[in-house]
Amino acid sequence: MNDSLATPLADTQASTDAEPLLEVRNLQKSFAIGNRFNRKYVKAIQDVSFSMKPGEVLGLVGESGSGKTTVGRCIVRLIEPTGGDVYFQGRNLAAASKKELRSLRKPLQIIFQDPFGALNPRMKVGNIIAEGMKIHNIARGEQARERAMELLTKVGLSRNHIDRYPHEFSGGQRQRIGIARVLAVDAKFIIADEPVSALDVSIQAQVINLLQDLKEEFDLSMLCISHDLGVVEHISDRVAVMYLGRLMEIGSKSDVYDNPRHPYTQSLLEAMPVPDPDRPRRDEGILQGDIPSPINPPSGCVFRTRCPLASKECAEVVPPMEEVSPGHLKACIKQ
Amino acid sequence: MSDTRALLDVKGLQVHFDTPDGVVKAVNDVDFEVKRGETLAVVGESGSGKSVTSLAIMRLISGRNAGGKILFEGKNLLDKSMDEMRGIRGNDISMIFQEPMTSLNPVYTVGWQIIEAITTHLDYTHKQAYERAVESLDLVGIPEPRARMSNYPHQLSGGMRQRVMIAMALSTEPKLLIADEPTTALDVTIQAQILQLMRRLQREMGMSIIFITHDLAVVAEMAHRVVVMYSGNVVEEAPVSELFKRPRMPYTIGLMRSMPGRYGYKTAKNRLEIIPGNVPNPLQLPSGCAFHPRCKFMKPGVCTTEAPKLEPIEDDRLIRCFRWEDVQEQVQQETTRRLA
Repeated sequence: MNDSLATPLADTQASTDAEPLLEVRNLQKSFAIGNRFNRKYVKAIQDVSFSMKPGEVLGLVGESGSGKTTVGRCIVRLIEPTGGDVYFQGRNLAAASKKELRSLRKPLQIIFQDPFGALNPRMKVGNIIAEGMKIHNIARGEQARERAMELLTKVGLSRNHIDRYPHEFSGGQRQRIGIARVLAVDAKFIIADEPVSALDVSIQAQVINLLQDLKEEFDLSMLCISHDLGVVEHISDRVAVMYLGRLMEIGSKSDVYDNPRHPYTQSLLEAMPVPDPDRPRRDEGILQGDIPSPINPPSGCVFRTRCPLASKECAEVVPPMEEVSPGHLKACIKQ
Repeated sequence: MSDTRALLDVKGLQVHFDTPDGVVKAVNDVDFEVKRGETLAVVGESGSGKSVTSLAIMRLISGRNAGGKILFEGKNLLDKSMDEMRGIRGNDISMIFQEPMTSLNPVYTVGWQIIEAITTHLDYTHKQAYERAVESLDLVGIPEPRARMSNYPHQLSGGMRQRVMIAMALSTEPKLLIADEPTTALDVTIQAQILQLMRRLQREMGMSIIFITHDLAVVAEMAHRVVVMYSGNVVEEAPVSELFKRPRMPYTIGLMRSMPGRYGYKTAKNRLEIIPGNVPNPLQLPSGCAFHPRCKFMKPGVCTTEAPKLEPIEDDRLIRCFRWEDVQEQVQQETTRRLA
């Protein structure tokens, strides 16, 4: 079993010898649905492996149902994975007991998509930010309050916002509060799950810049999960593409955006609307059909039902991740 | 004889809502025309008044009409009785919405719902309407349309539901289709399919489209002309290629530059150029130009005191900005500097 891991992980070892900060190996998650007479499984993620170096931003893109959010949540075990390992700073989170997990998980924090649902409406902003500090014994009382005020200014709000409630803030400001909460527990690794999707266009850019500033100041690593190819292109060092629970392609930003090698990545980039009205409007070559159901995914390559290149062989084996160039891998048997 | 007048002419439209906290001027001063066979994109963020404008055209909104006219083929829709409006909605003007799941009735089959739309508006027998419904499902690219007629909305994917909505809206061959964020809830590959479909149907059927969106890239893919809205006002109008090549209004310039990805403007250290601040609270609109608190070209004493009017400038363009000529100069200098 360990032999199959060699390829997906080659990218980290190839470029530098820095220890990976996070290493995800063969992560699996299936959800049981139906009742005991008619049990079915939704294969949300299958065999996802990747690793990240300290200070790196990995963009995880995919359409709805691709499993990208589930990957983020399985890493911190907000959803229990059904298989695979997650090594963070050398410790396996997937095998940790609930008690160990509490402290192991401290440096890994999540920023959620919906800034309205992610903050407790009955708590004051100061308490929302200080809660994590108390739980992890970082600070309490006056000290925690002072630190919360400092963090508010760091994320572009002001010290006197501390005694207000979430409903008094706009979407963009709430997202900033969510970011302050993450910084409060000295996060090293942030999982940003669609961090700007719910925000207005003019506010998106502000929050993206803030994330970049804080990433540099606090030396953070980030897994940025998004369906927005533009956001991921801007913020990421490397990009991973998922489809129907599986990784399709992973590589540096320029590998994936300028030289995509998987037919799905190519179709996805082709489908992205382009803000240039003088570009001829393409009506041919648009990916047809819908994403199949994850309850009964296609055999072999999951993309083959929509793939322009698909042939008989694609139905037979699940294509392994193969290296196209150092650090650039794709799961496709076609050249 | 062909009609050279605009199909729809919105003049000085104002829609206000009386709330316990005061009057919300959701649509403050909106002017635009939609020509026959043209796609007009209306771009704006939340609170810009773009959706309220479209609902006002359909007379589907309970707000107080505080002024203006909506001329459809020369007749003011605001003077029509509710009975007369029922004859226009669905017949002459149809609308599709962002979330097809909430626009379709979950307890009826899609066939039933399309047939209902057809028999309500056209003098068809049930059998004729059935055939017409099958034809329209086929037209929007739904495979096996006859079998799909007996499906319920939950049995279809998001993209298929949006196709059903389009089939229903177009089954009566309207002259104007209002599409309010029709692809926002869809995945990018499905969005590309729906945009392609709408372009094809427009070519084949020749209807006009008002395409409401917040996404500039989608505008570039769809529109012939663009209206940019901010805080209840039209702030800029231009043919699509002019607008993208030479945006003039500081808000439009800011939107274009803040696009993440390879098309926006990057400042030092790979940061995006941003529009600072927030969309203003509609209950406390800023004095003068509503955009002035966020505008980097703002001039105190000019932009802060008086509200600019929407004025024609060169080649088929309108703008609401006192300082557009100075802005243009400054932007040109910035561009030269960036290229150097």
